[in-house]
Amino acid sequence: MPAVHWGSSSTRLLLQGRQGQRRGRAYRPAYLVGAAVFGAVVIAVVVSIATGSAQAFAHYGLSFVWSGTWSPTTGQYATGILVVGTVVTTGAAMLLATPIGLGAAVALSELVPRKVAAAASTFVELLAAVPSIVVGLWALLVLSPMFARHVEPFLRSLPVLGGAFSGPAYGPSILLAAVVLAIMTLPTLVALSRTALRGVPVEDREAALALGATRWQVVRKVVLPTARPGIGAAVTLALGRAMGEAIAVALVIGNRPALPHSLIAPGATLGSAIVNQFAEAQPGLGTSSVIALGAVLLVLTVAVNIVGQMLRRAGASAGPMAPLPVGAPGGAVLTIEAPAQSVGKAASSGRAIAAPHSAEGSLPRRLVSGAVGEVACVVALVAAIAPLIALGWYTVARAWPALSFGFLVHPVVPFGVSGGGISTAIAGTARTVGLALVMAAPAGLLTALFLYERPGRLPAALRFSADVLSGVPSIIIGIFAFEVVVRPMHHPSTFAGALALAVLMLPIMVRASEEAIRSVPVDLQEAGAALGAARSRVVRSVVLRGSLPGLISGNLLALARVTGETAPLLFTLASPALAMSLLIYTNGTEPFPSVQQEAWATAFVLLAAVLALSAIARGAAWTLTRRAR
Amino acid sequence: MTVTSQPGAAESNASASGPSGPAAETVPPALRFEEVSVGFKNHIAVRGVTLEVPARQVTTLVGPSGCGKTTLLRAVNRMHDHLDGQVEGRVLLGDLDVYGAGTRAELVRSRVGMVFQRPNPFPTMSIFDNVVSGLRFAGIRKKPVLKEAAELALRQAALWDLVEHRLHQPAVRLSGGQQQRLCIARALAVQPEVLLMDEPCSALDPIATAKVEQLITRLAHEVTVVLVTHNMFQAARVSDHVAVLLMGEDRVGELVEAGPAAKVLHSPDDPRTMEYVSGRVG
Repeated sequence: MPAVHWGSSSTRLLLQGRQGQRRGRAYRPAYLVGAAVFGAVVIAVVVSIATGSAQAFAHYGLSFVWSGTWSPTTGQYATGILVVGTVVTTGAAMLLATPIGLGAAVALSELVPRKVAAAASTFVELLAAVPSIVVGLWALLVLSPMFARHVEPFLRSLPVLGGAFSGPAYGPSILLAAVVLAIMTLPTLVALSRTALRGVPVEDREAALALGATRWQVVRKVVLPTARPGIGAAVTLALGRAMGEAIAVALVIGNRPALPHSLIAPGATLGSAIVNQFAEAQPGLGTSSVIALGAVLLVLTVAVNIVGQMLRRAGASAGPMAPLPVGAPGGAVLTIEAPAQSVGKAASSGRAIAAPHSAEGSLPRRLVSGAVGEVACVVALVAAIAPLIALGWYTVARAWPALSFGFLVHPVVPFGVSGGGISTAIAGTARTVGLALVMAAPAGLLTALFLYERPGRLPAALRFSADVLSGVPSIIIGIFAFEVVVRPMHHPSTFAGALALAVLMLPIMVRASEEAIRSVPVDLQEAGAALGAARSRVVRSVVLRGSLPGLISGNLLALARVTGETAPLLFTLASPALAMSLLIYTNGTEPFPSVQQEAWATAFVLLAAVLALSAIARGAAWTLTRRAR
Repeated sequence: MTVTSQPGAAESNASASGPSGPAAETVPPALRFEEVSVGFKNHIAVRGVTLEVPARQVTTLVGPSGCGKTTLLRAVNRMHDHLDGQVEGRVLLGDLDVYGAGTRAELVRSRVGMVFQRPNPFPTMSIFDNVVSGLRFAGIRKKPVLKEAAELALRQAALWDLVEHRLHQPAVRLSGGQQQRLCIARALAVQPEVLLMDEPCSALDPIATAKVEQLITRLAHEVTVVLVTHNMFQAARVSDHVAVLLMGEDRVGELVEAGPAAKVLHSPDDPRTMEYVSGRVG
């Protein structure tokens, strides 16, 4: 075989000419800057809340936190009572949501046929995108009258439990707020619990089945115990979300800052008080006191989220556990005793122990109790989904008469003027959300690349803070944008609103992008690197291209989530006419049916937009993934 | 309905006399396959298997990957139920029709133990809780009963001396081989008639493998063992009987030959068995 003369080939000469070039030198600085921006955002959120509330804490001291005095004119907001209200409301919500959510997750993961489960899970994940303002509107206009007329009088008449439901039935109440929070947190709870349950290895389930366990026993004795950390994380993260929810609670809790004596009495939470007091607070100490409420809420939710995220990490690592590499004490010594002894023992005590098949007698009982449990789980699944279907149906039915082409293309007009529409609100939402996307997407992607490229403590800390930041209440991000933009510039602006939304999007984008990037097989990258490609080149043409579906879907999901946001725009946009969510909030709380109908119609448009974005995100991920294979 | 699992003197003698035709004829088979086929959504895995598994002996299913050994094994205790597997033909466990109308899978499984490829002790349970989990599933709660059953099963699995003083430690702290023996003890604790072992040594090192193999031969005095392995040396070491499954022309697994281990492994009747075995046994 003739020798190959590499040196004389023209390709070789071409390559030689290019080896001196160092391209992609900007890659490392770029992701470092991205990570720096992300870190700065996290710090800025904390610092802005701290400086904003400094005046109140300086004036009242730490006793502000447990104060029971309600005196808005002097900036005292009875923080202690609000904390109790928050704890009672969210506690009641989780008591309601946990069994239903867990049952629904068990039904989805273990009981219903796989195709049904896949469809129902997609549906549940779409429901997680329903904006809280739409849930709030439905709760205010549909649930609240129903509670006043039927549910609350019924609960009051119960023999023993009735004591917890004493007093007049208004409708808006701690109970209603808890129910609304339960409905809102259920999709998160179901999705996260289902992930935890699916993570239990099939080998463990089959081991139990092979021992004669019924399907329900497999769930109770093997799947649930193994998934416990993940389920704990699901409940804790849902609790964090419930604590931080402000708008929907403000609409239905009745907003009375008093120690709760009955579950059907009106109450108030930290979030609802911020929504109601922020606009009316006296400049200076008053505003600072409201921000101090935010500081307390921030500490509470961050604490809950830290616990939740730690549980989630514990749950993720507790999967199929490899045997620890500890040597057997016996070493290589065979320790099998004489067979005769063992056989003799088996023969002698075989009868003394339960006869081998005494289990037969109890099998029917086990099957019955299993059936009861399984039915309960399927009922829970229905209970988790039903309210959200009802919500969708009401929105469509109430919105229908008001929907028209003119409604979409005419600008918002003041009350009493006919012929108005919501075109300015649609444009405002699109403008704010679009600007937020432009601000957040580059930083999100670069931060994700940083987390991907760098090992060590700093990326781990950033990753953790991204997870915790995604659990920080949106109303606190609204306060942040108010502090860093609106207050210095002396007037609200689209930029301020967009900044708030960008901060809300950022952690979701970072984590979704990192996950997508990590899904690209390492051997593909090594193939690129082995061909002599620079790291930046490998990242661009292998890693980013390979993870494109995940990147697009992650960004779209983040977009969908902030499109329906209300609380952070409350303090940052100049007028309710500049965002659909704000318009729903102001119109929905008016007592006039025609105005309420406009709120329904706006809610319909917003809901359609958000669900379409989420659906496109999932569809994009799905089709692009299939094409890539 | 109940078949005694106590080894009587006669049977002990029979199995001690080694793999021989007469022994299988005097004792009714523990397990019978009659024209068994197993299929999944879009393919048939194994077809038309008719086989008698003699009681209290080791019967090994051998064959190349994908020929349906494991599929056939899992048909015995209905482990295809939750995976949409279709089983045709009859599987008889003693006189119980495994797929008969009105036969509950749980009942079948409480009479059949199973050991899997990878050790799979329940990760949230202690050693003790793992061993007695089958009894607890069956509704047995009395502590003394459970304790005695646990000790017996752990002794049978040659694990008692190692774990006697740490019964309440997490099972996942044991080494891989010990975990597998714990899984064997767990399967034995319910005193099954038949023990199914699906390549139980494939995840173990040679020393742990030797221990488990020793255990298998010893267990055959008390329980019928059906072993799946792709390791012909292992088959030769532990089997009383061997059944060879090979892939047919349409890539569906078929039973080619079954009989006493010595005969099948060294002078098989079927040329296909000869071809498969000759390259693999010394």
